[in-house]
Amino acid sequence: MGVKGWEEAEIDRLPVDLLAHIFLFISSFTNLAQASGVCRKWREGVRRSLGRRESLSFAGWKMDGDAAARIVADAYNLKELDISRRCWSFQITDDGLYKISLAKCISHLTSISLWGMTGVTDEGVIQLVSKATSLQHLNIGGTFITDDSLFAIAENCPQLKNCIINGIEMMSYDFGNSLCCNSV
Amino acid sequence: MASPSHTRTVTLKSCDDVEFVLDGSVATLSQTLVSAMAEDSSSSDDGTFTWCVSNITGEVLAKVVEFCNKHADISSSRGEDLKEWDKAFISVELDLLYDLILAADNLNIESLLDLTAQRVADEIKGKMPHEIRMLFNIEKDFTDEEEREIRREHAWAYGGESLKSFL
Repeated sequence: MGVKGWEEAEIDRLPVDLLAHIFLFISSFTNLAQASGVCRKWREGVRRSLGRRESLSFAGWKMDGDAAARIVADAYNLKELDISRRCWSFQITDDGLYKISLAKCISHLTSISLWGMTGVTDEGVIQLVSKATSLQHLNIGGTFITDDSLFAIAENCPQLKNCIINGIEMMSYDFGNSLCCNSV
Repeated sequence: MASPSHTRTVTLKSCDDVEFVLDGSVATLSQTLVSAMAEDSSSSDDGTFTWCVSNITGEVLAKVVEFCNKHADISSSRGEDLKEWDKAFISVELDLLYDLILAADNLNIESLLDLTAQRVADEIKGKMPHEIRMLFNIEKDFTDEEEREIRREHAWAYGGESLKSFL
């Protein structure tokens, strides 16, 4: 294709919703951040594209809790959220979990993974699960949470089907037993 | 009563009066045409259906029809060969690419919309905002305040380097 095509092309002819569709094909958060730094219309397009996503994984991204929380806040239709350590270049804290828990989509999430997040404590997990009332799958293996979190999970997540705690997958029946035995 | 859409013949008419005749099975790639045919109760006896697209030119519609014919042909619609065909098909100048995106949206042809959107996304990947602006001939319209906000919010994406030189 010739240089002429690039210079005279008018991408402005595309409405913002079609830009948003284009941005669905960009999975890198760095590339999305760069696209949203182009102009106002593109910024809005990136925001809308996040609103169409049903799953987010912060795989390998060096972003802080604030940046992650901003992305999650725009993802209105999110169902699955993966913020596990294998995906995270450094640790998220309770403060990050708190900010993420404020997003509207949290109450619709069916799956959350916090695997290996050694930087979070009961405080952050309890805050998150108290909002995640539709949760069916939860991975909190490799964290240092205590019974307090488990009781909060049992209380707030009635639809939970399976929960991975310290590498052991517990179905809902086992999960209930584990709470009775106070065995964590 | 209307004939089933796959047995009918569809005539597509561009805004500059260029006509294309499609097999019904080809036309079913377009959800817009499927809906229009389903609603059409005044089907002519010979099973033809005419649809005017008011904002797509003959040049663009020819490409759309070419895409639909290829993708509806089951014998050719498999694996690597089709991927190669798509790649060659989509190697067009940007203006035509935008026209194809708009046409795919208008006619609701999911596979064409995804192919064209992917092509634009591939152009964006790995570029800094100022490079993207140069490539697509876009003007920066942020206020100073918005620019400060973007710098603050997106600092992580640039490995701690100052965003100033990139924006």
